[in-house]
Amino acid sequence: MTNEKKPQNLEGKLQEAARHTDEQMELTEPSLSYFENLIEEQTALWYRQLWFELTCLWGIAFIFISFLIFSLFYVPFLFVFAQITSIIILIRYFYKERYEMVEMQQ
Amino acid sequence: MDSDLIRRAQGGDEKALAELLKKHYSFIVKYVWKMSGDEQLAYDVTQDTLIKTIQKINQYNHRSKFSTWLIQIATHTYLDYKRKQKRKYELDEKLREEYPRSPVSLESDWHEVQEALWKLEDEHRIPLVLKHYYGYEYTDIAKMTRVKVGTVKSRVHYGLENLRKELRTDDK
Repeated sequence: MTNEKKPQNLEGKLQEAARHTDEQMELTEPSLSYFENLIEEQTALWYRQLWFELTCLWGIAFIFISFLIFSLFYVPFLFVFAQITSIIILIRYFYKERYEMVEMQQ
Repeated sequence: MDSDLIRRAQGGDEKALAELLKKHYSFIVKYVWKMSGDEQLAYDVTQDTLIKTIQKINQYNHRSKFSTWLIQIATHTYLDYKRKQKRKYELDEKLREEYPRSPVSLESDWHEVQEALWKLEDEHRIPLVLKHYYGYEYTDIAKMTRVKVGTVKSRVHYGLENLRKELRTDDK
């Protein structure tokens, strides 16, 4: 057996092995109703998943919309609160500055 | 015939899809069995392949043969199984016992070749099976296994080399 012939022989043996293995394999093939049941099962599962995903989507949307409404309602209050706080800080600052100036003058 | 069934199945005809799956059932089992050497695994992988086929039947674009598409799904399902199991693949003892060894002869010793093939690593065995058992082109195998054509060629080459070594070892 030469080296050139070896690969060809091996490929031939592989094809023979494929043919023989194919012939020797005894399969238990299910009936058509098995496949029909499998399809029905998978379709039902798909619809269940679809409902679950849609429910999750609507749940998330509801949370976001609720948050948005809450923000729209309370944002003006937050703005007023921020204004009052800044005014208090400014008054304190000017008062402190004025007090320090009086001390320096004395 | 097949394309008609596929179109009907894609249109939502469950009966046509069932017929289509039944028609290709043996083909998938035999492919996975020949590839893995494990009968039970072959049935499990086939079951998962069928489920994926049901879920993705509308994604089949008629560009390649339906059997090629099925082989692609089966190969990836098999590799996923192997990844999950993370255990070394075992030879199918049942098949080995069922068909006892014939006297050593290069022409008739097909089961030795089969056993040697099952001893190879997945990355060498899968392209070898697709190339020499099913006669697919390198480009088709590259698409099925999602690797480059050059990689497939080298894997087939090294697979054959390893197979040759394995057979030589067995002969000793």
